[in-house]
Amino acid sequence: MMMNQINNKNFILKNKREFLGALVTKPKNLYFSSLDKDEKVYVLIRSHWIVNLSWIINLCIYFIIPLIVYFILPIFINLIQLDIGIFDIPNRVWIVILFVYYSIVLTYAFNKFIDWYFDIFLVTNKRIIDIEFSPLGGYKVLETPLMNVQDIKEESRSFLGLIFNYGNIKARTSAEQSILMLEKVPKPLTVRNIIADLVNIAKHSYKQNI
Amino acid sequence: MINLLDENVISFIRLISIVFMFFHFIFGIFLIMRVLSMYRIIKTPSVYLLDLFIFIYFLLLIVVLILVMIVQ
Repeated sequence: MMMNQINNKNFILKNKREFLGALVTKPKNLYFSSLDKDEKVYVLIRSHWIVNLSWIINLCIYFIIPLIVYFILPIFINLIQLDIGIFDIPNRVWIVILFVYYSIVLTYAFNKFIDWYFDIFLVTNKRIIDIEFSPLGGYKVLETPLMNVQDIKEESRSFLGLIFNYGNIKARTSAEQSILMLEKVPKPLTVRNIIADLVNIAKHSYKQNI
Repeated sequence: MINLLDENVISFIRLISIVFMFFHFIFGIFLIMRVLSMYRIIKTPSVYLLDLFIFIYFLLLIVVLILVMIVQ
């Protein structure tokens, strides 16, 4: 969109939500600690849900491991004629072991999920905010004023990215040529378009104020 | 040859389960605290589902810890 055709008043974005909240435009009820009173959040972005696929597959494997052990172990023990009385262990002990095992599997899933869930990009009418969260470590918040964004690059290199429509967005800023990278963003074309429009609005209103 | 029915072996399995589950419980609480501390920085619209999950996860941790301790 041309710079002179767009301003704060005619930039209209509806509240839309992608699967699992990976991309939310005009999010409602969002709280961010350092949000100014006159600041509006236009886009909330997480990595595409497909990036969770690897740990979800692992999770499925971990879930069926006890079943595999239950069916395979007797065959194996009979085969090598090992008599360690494993089948005579009381059921309650097996149940406890199973509960402990599945609670560990659940913790693994929880750890991976929050790692994805709190890695967030926010695009407001003033800046781009990147929140990087590590469940076992700390967190990092990076922000770049929209005014400083020089150019925006969108790329989708992987085969899965082309199929599921996700890609990376790089925003190059004037400050020491640093690059803000939004990785595996769903609908990168839409996101790049929105960011580009907001950058244009920010620069346009800055020029008008001068 | 090890006999898994031996009382000493079963006691050992119980002890290992209790110690393991205790540390796991501490780790689970640590993860929950990490999430709750992130709420001070950002709260997204879908956070209520995560709250529900955290509650169920917390209950499950307590139930499993108690179960490990009481089963003889």
